[in-house]
Amino acid sequence: MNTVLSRANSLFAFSLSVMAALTFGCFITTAFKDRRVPVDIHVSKVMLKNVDDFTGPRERSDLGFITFDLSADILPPIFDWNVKQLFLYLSAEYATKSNSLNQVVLWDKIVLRGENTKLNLRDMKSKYFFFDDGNGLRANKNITLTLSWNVVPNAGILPLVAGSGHVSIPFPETYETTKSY
Amino acid sequence: MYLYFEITHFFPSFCLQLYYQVLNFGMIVSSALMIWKGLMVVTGSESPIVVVLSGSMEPAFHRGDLLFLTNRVEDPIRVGEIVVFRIEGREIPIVHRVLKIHEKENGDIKFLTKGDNNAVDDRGLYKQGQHWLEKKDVVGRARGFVPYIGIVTILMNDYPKFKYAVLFMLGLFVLVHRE
Repeated sequence: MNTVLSRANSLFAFSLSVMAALTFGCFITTAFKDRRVPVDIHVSKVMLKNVDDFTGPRERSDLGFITFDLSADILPPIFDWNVKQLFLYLSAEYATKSNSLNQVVLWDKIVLRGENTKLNLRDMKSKYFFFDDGNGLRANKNITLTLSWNVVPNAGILPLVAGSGHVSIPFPETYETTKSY
Repeated sequence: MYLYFEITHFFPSFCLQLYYQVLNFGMIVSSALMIWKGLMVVTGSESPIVVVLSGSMEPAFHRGDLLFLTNRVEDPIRVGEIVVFRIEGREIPIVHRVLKIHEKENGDIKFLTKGDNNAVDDRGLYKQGQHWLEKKDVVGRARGFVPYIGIVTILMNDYPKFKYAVLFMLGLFVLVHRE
């Protein structure tokens, strides 16, 4: 330890190892945590149209409109020292004649560390267009809406957790022909 | 034992040193290669560790963050997952989130992606006329994350002089060490 260079070298190596140990500690202390929380979803309005899919392949497809309410208290079990942000998304899952499994994200939100974590949203409209791949929404008895979240840590595993509380709704048998939404 | 006796007799001592240096170096390189290939097999992905190159997934991932990927067949692609994919004909991998999936009975799946920080989905990025991504375009699904470490790779790509300088110093260090 008698030159500036060797001192700088050991200092650098030491700080690197400490940072690596801290990062590993962050990861291992939160790796096996259960991050599920009860969620309350309620659907107030469902409407169906049949138009050309202007977001992609230009075929006539079913377009669904859902208005929903959402409430959940996500602070306690989820946010800890290793969570940087939560990516929340509301997804609709259903089966049709042409596809055995369809999943569409209707709405999403990013909740950063330190932001308000009580969710209480009313009369929300979907953020993304709910187009089906074809005409499978009409008279579909079972569309399940689930709120899930992707936990983004400071360092470590990126789990996808589904909230425990989902709601199933049927779609109407006829298309809406008026210009309302 | 017999061979060692022969080598020490017929090789002058500095040649022996150099020979061992080269062997050592070769061992290090081949161990690193074995670890990398082993990771590829375990995770099922052709590129198990990637560096995030763009800001389209902020504030979750910034340029320079490292992602650990898996691509196992028994893990189906579902919405909300972060996938790393390549568009046909382009070699830069893109890290975005799955927005929509349509899967058939036999397992054929087509899906749409969008970056968290982008206002629209990725159809503008896909090939002309391509509306969906398929399993074959996927390099892997992001399962783990470490911040900032990949900055070195980005620096080396953006400033090639830095890359040559680092390689030169490494080479020099290996040759000069122990003399």
